Amino acid sequence: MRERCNMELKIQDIKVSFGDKKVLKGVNLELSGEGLYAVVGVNGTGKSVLMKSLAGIQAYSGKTILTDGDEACPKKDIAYVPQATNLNSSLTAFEMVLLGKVKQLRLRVPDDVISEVYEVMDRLKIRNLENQKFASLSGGQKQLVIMAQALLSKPKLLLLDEPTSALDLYHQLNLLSLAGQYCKESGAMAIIIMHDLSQAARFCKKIAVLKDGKVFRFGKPKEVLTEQIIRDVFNVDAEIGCSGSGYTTVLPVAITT
Amino acid sequence: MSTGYRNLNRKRIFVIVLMAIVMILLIFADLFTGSSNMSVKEAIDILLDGPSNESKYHFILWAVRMPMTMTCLGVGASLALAGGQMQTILQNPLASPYTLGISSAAGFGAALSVVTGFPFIPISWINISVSALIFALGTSALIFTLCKRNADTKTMILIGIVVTFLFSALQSLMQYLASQEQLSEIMHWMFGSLSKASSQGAVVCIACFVFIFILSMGSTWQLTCLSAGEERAKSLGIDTERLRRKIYLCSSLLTAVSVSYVGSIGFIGLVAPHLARSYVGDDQRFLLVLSPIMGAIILLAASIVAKIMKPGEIIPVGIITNLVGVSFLLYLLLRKRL
Repeated sequence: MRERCNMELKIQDIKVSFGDKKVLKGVNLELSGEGLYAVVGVNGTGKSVLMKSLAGIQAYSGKTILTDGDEACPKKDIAYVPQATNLNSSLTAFEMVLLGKVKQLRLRVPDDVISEVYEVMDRLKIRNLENQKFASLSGGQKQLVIMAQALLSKPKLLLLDEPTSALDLYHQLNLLSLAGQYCKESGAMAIIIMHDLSQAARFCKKIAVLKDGKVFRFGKPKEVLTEQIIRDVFNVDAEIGCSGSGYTTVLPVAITT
Repeated sequence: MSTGYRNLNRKRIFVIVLMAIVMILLIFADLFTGSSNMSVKEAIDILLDGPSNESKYHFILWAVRMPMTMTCLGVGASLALAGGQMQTILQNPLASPYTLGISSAAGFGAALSVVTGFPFIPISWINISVSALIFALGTSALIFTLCKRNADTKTMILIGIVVTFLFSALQSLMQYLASQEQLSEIMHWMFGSLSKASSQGAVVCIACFVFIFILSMGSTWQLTCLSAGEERAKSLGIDTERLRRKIYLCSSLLTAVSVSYVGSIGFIGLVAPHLARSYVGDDQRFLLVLSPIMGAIILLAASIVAKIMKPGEIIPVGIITNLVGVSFLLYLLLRKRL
């Protein structure tokens, strides 16, 4: 097993425009240490664009510095799981997961890589999908397969864009627990876009709230998930509570008038 | 360890071997089919004898049928490989080697040569092929240059459509200016015919295929990633634009050589990769091997049909592939296997 990472991510003044429309207007964020970080905000505020920028899929101005200790991390250390996928690939679920190791693959796939693929599929409870065509899977199953692919690549930075949006409660919990466990074991960090604020509070050590293409607030769930901030950002009146296990809960009550 | 993946791959290898055997059988069937009264036994004896000028049958088998069969092999494999690559890099199941206008450019080159004599080489049929090759390669280079900065699939397809319309218009102009005799020659070239096959042409075509095939096999995993989607490939660290340019150059060369040699033979580049994909999926390690085999099978079968449909005459093979291709494509569409 490789050494634990000591991750740090500095996002400096990231700006993205599509034509005249400015989506990200200067995002600044500093994340330090392993664990899950949530990005929340209303639709269209640039959360997915920020993730794609970090993944290197979207061109942007500004700077991102990802380091493990004193060393800068190459792009291969970043894995990205998109919001939803409408891919109609003829690859099987197994083959799709296998691509997480693409940089190490030669003409013959080694046995230890095959074992690793099965292992990660077992952890996500998707081994039964092994021989099914990716195109024939449901939205939720596709998300799990892509998640397995991302985990197989053993990233130092895991970017998850609404990974639970198409999953049932069981798989939501399993996926987020697994992401948390992976980060804890490896020292990696994961940034997750979420709409369920209670879930964000349950699993993430810090939450960044995006508003109008900028970071509106960033901090621990208890600091960020306040009635006032939720009203300011989401235009929703919410009751903030505390679960029996001590986690912050957010119950949306009414649209702010 | 579960062996599901290994078993799947074993099945794929079995299909590839089986199809390779079918292809070899069709090679012999094509060699043994023709309008002369040569029996199969005589043909086998002549094949074992090797090329010589001993008899009329030796000449027919070694100098007429062999180049045609080898051309089927080279052109069928080339068009299928180029088609499979185009479908992957353009992420479009309806893409073919002709999507980006290379065939139209070659068609115009051929028509220009028939009407004006360009590029003025004394041997008529080489003259037409060289002209077609010049325009096919020139167009590939032009599209490559235009897409150098922005090689996304939509831009490439749109540029291909523009190029196709441009050369179709220019070809119509050539046909308008052509005499009746020249018009007939242009039409014959456009049908796609094996009647002008030569040993030298077949060798060039097969050599080109082998070279590009080996080059492509070095990018199988990257291509597999690209078949899983542009965004997926990028997030897996693949330089998709570089890969797309490299594979585009490879498939353009394959198409240009094939089209300039035998004319525009349609549907092989579209249907063969689909057929191969339905057996071995999108894993390019298998798809890049099976597609050319399927392409060769289709063209060899079409060649046999072309010879026996009208005894004493060889119907241009492009007509047969178009007829079979249309029906097969419809079948695939109705079965939703695209």
